[in-house]
Amino acid sequence: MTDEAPLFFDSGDEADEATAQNMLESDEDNDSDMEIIASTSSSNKRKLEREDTDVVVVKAEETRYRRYIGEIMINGWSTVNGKGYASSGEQVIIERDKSVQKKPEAKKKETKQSSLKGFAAKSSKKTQNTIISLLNHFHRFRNTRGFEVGRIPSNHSAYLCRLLDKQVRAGVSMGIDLTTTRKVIELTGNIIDCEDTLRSGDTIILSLQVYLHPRAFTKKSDKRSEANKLSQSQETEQEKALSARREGLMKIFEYTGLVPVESNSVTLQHRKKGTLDGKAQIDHFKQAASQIQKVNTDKPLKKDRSVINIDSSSDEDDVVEVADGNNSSQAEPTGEEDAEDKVNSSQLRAVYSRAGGAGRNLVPIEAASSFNLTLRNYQKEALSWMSSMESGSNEPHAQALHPLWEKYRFRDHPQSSTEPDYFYFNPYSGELSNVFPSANKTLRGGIQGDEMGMGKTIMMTALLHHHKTADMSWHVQQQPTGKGKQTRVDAVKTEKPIKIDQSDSDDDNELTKSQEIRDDDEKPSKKRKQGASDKNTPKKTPKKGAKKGASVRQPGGFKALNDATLVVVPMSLLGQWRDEIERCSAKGSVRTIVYYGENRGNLEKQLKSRAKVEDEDGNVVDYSDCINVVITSYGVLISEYQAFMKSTDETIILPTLLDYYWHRVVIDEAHHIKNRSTLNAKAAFEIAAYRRWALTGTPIVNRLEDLYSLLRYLKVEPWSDFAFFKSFITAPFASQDPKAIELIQVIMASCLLRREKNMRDSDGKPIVTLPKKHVDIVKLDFSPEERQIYNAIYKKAKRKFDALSHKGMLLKSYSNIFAMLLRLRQAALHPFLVTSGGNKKESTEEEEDDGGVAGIDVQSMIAKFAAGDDSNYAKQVLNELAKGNNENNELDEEENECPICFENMSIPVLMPCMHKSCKECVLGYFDRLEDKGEQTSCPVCRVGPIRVDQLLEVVYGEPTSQNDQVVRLRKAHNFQTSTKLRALTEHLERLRDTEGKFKAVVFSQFTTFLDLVGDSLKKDGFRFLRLDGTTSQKNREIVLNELDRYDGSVVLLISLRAGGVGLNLTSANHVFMMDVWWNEAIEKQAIDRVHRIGQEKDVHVVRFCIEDTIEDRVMHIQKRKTALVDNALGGKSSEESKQERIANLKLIFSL
Amino acid sequence: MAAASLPKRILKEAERLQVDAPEGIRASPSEQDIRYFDVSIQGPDGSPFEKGIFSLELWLPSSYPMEPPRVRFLTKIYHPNIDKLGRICLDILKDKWSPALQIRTVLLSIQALLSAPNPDDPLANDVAEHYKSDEKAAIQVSKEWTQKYAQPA
Repeated sequence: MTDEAPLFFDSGDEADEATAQNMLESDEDNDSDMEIIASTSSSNKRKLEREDTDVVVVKAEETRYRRYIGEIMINGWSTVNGKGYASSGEQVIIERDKSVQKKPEAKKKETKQSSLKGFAAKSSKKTQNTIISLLNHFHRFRNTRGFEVGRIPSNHSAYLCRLLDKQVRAGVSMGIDLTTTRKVIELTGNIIDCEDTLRSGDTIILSLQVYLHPRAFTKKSDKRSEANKLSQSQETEQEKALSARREGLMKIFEYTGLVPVESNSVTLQHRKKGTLDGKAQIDHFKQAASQIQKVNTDKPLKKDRSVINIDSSSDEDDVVEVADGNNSSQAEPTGEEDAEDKVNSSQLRAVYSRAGGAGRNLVPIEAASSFNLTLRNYQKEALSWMSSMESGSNEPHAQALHPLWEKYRFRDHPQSSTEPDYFYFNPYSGELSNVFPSANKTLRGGIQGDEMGMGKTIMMTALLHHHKTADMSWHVQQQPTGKGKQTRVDAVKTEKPIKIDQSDSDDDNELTKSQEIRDDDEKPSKKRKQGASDKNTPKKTPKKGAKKGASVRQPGGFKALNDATLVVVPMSLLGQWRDEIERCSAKGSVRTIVYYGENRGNLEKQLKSRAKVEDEDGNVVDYSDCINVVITSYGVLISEYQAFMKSTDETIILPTLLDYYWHRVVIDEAHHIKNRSTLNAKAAFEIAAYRRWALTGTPIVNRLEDLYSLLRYLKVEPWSDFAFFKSFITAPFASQDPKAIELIQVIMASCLLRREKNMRDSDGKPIVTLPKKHVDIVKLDFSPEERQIYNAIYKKAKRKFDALSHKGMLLKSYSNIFAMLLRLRQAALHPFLVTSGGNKKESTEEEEDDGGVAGIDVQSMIAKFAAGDDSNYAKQVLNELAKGNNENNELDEEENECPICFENMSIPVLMPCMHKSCKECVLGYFDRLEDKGEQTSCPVCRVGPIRVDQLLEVVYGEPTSQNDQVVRLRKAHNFQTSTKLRALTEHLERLRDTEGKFKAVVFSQFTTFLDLVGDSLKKDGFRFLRLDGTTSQKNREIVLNELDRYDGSVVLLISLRAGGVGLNLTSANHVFMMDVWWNEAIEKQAIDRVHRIGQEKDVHVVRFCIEDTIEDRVMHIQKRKTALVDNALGGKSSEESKQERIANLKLIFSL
Repeated sequence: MAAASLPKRILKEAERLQVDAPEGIRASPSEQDIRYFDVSIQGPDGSPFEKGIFSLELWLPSSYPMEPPRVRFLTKIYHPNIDKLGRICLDILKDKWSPALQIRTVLLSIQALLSAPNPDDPLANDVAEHYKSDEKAAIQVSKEWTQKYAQPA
């Protein structure tokens, strides 16, 4: 340092020191100017030596030279009269005017520069009582001969002093790095132009060369987060200092024209605004923090909305709509915060935009030999990514600049090869750094967020194998480069000994040591949980404590499980995971332990046993070198967590899952922890592991906070602090600040891999290649009877629609219309659907409206239809019934009572013996008899056998003035076919003829229709399975197993609602869509359960559509614009979608 | 209307048995369990059980009325179709059950069974044998048992 000629001399002396000390409370540490002053003040040498002990180490590795960043042109003022003071090109020395200080004594001691005194005193008199601090800002310049020449105008002095002064220091106790308040720049000056003979007040044009002082750079990047945290807390002295420094640097950059070579648009935007306002730059994040309470009321932030629209390239409509929503919400602020956090689809796209595989240059790597399957290329890429995420060698990835930082280029050439070309500036905190502030620091693991059905389980299994065999040397290679947090690096260094220690973890000192450090960092420690009610607050305390000495802390008491991976999955997937892992793995290479139910408790024993075991086939499986995988459910995790929280170090009898330090933890369907306050999430946060993974197809379900849980679980610093996350992400997002999205993008890029099935690789080929999908739309014509029924319903609906349309009531009576549409759609499937239980009430309402005429028409039509080939018999019974009914109109209660349930028969059926019963009761009874192998018979008179198709349903019409009561009959058991059913049967029969064994899936939205399909299939001898919303989890598994394993033709009937996460129907390759969905996307999703990874055959999809019905209209609308159908029926409320809805409805009802 | 409405059926039956009891039959549900009935049947006139009051217990399984009620004599009775434990051999209580039958019809059938013992379909073999070999003597025993055991308290 001292070999550099100091060009800025601090004019301060002892008095200044004293003043400075008075100004500042904590002055233990020496100011950084000391070494520069050293040559002039021998009394300081002792101090310097003392400081050297502190500094020398750092010096060795930091930039040793000041670095040039640019030139500022300044109009200085002459303070002298006369000739020869200065000439063009002459060098000048800038110095701080210290002549005026608060303390009069300071002035008196001012001896060196007596010539200044008069002026300073004068000005001080003028301003003494008002702006004392301003006086501090004066800078004068001397020529090389030591004579003062002039003064730098105060507007420049103002910021320069902040960067040149040693005036403010932060105490170490506040956790702020000293360098943040040290001298930041050095200046050299030249006179460009001036009069030969100067008069006081003449303009002297100066050129100032600005250098960044070597000590300006933040050395420990891990301090950054703390500094940032501070910036959102209350304004402190330290923060003021940081703020002043930041503003100063901004000015310097502005005047020197230095622009970042890498930044993000939002920071630039902020910068621009700050400049235009002519004010100091708004500390955006601080503002954001204060915004939490009053989201949405701040006008300046509102302006930012325009920025959002510019930034999000696609789907601006959505964004605008959100913005509108905000405007309107101002009137009623309650509960709005929830909505603010919601993420719409275009935002979601933006969030994921940098998380894809493209542009990452992932080099596919082969799976380990013990991995049995062949990975697809994109899976190999994922393996590569996951492997690099685990090993920390994620170079392409590490290049993501931390979103709060900007990258600048020095304007001089490095003086040695070790000197960097670039430096980094955080415009929000004012920090400078000469090491790359990477967005991800501490992460080992990440979020595997590939879309559903791309094989996340398989990829994760490949990783299990990969990092079992991969050489562990990265543990050593990982040097403390300064990028990582110090504590973290320490932990990694000591990780290796743990690896070696396989069996005897308890008495290993190294292990204990590393755990202590980890405790500080990740701290799933017993100690914390005892006193800490709030999860966020204790964070700072242990950190501080750690610096003071880890030895004070109790050992965490973890047991290391060095080769064991913990997999947490939803209970229903326990078996699937086990099967999948075993299917993927060579025998003996993996041991899966399902830690659930009875298997709990003896974990350690199971893991330690290295025995050779005989499997079912009598082969000896050698587990001596296996990977252990413990699979457990969220439920078990929660109960273990509760046990863990209750236990103290002394009371542990059985260790819980949380008492181990796992090699790796994986949570599947990670959106299960999206709510951070749930036990699921809390327990997941608490799991201790070296590597952490979250698998989920939906990293953000609908709120940004969903992400917080994942980041917290993954320990992505600094985002795992909720207050931090909230003030830097959630709140800015809520106030429409584009920075939020940008920030999330960068965070996501650092820890999320998400590909979608339709993505393409670098060669433009789809990353996922599936067998072909053939979609046929089969147009069908109604039978004349069906047409009559349909038309009758349609006419009635249209009459009603037209009436509503006239009155302009369309949207108000939307539910009414929707019910009509529903009926029409059902009528297109099967006429019986429109008369069975669920719709009865509604139909009578409508009949009242229409005087009953249309209703009777339909009923008689149905009766005719139902009678089918047996019409004479039906007529005969009908007559008898009608007659009998007329005779005793007043049926007493018992007459109308079902003989089985003793209730009034809701749907009475008539047996051939003319005995009546509830339809449901008698069918239940018949089922029972059939199960017992007995013949069906009338429960009353035992006449039998009765076939279900002999049952006739009695349908009572509404009494009218002409008729007392109209009674119709129709076949009660819905085996009667319809056009659609017939078409399905024909297709299935064709399949049976051509393919022999086939597996097909039949989708419908109506479970009642699936009932009919089932009956029809039963009649025609097709084996079928059924899955709908009411199917229990257990039965689901049975059904899906059966579909997979059954060796023969089988048809799965499935309702829309039954489809859930991860449903895999790839063993089928024929799909029949029985009805038309409003939203084509949902239809596609349904098909994708069959047409997904794992499908080996071409998939044939048949969409049935009856011509000239609501179905082909809906298809037409689908074609017009899929999204609008969604809008039209999804209940969005913007004016546009209202118009669209009306248009769609009119389309449906236009004949 | 199967499962959900079953308790309603039981309530209705119980109520009707109270309001409109068949002659010579009393059946009342126990206070603890609506499915458990205390039953007494009067021996039909002209039968060996005339004047006797027979106690029975009747219990409705959860699957009632898809399954028949369980009925048992508590009073000792000398009858070829009723064994020492009071179990009754009656087809409608077994394979001939129909959900259209009810407690009332079951009890009436039992009453009828008292009038017409059927030794060809015996449950109590010794009694049946007795009825077959010497009906008079057997009827006499039945009468004696009725006098001895089936008198109102």
